[in-house]
Amino acid sequence: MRCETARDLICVGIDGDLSATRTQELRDHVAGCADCRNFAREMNALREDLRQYAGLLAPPTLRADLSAALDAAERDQLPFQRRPIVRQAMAMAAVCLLSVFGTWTFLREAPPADARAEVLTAHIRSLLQDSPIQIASSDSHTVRPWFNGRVEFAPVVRDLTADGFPLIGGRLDYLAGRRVAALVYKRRLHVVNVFIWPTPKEAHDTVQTIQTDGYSLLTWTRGGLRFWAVSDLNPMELAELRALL
Amino acid sequence: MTIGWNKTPPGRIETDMRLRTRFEQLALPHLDAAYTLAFWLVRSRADAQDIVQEAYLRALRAFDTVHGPDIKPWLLTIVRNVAYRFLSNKRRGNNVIPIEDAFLPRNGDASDGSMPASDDPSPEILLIDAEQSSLALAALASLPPLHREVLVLREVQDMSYADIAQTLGAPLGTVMSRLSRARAELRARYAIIVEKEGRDAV
Repeated sequence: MRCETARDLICVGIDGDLSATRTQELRDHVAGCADCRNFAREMNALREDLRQYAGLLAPPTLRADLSAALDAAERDQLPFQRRPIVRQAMAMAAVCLLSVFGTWTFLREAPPADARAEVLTAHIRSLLQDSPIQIASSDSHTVRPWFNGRVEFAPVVRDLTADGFPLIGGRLDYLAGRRVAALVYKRRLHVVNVFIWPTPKEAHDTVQTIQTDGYSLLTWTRGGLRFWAVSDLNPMELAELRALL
Repeated sequence: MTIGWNKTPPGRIETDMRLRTRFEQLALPHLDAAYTLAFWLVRSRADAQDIVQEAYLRALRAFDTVHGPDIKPWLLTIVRNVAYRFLSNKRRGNNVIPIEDAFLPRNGDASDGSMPASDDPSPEILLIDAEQSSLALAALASLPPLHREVLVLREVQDMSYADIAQTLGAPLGTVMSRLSRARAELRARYAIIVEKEGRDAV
């Protein structure tokens, strides 16, 4: 075998792809040829160098950049409703709706403290309208029936003109997640809104006085009804009204 | 590099989030191999990173066409294609730099006049860490790309003939003969470099 052939075979034969006879011929040649022995040795050393040192590790920046690039490509590629940002937004919207619903159901039987903001708002809003009342009458026999079919309960309606609290009229309002009766009284120049709605029978009547933002609020329960009286009137006179109702 | 994207077809059944996860599971383990192949094809670390990134994005887009747990040959084919496209673009655009100038000898600047003129784009310097092996790696770097890649896939990645054939898109017989020639060429280049080193050292 010539050295040239031997070297070709050495290059191929490394992977063991030579036939048995060829392999034996090569071995015989190499045994007797120093040059080819060196060649084989060098060849194996070179391959070993490549195996050990030519392999590279992907730099950390590549992993990070690749992750970002895959994210960007995915955003471009996804149908709109599947995009992560949209799914996030939808999830957040769902959470918002749930929390609103949860809060709404909670407020239906809310302790007085939670209704105060709504009550005050409704009071102020009623004063901003052209008229705070929908039925103008100081006659309880007119106002009380007017609420039939408008609220599912029978509010307490009294004309207290003789006591300095003339009944101006009534209004349908919406508070604490339900339709409520609003009675509008006047004390001198002060307007008093009395909101009434049914409440589960409680062990004892609760009374609470609140003063906020220059307004007075008084709340109590009686006979299965929750009352809220709100006005810029002072709390003492508000308490007088309560005693009269 | 910018990549153009087609919109996802409307009839896609699998959700894209799961596809992305599955892609990462199957493709990320081969990141080092992809980077190694890209590097030895373009002989630039920065370019190799760009190429791997583009290759992986293309692979993600084509991911629903591939089967089986081992996607390495398919993935490396994409890396290879992107790398060769890069090389041909570079060749068309820039001055052609002789292969010998793509690396510097271990002991400093080349004094034999083979360095390109100063106004040419400077060749990428191969940063070779291991001293003893630097000549072997320099020999590898000096080979033509077809020889380089088959040596990297076989000697470095230890891929089977069948997998290499799939990656190169070539018949098995071609792979074997190319590998044999590449090994011989590697040794020849190595001998030249050793001789050059010996000359310069004196």
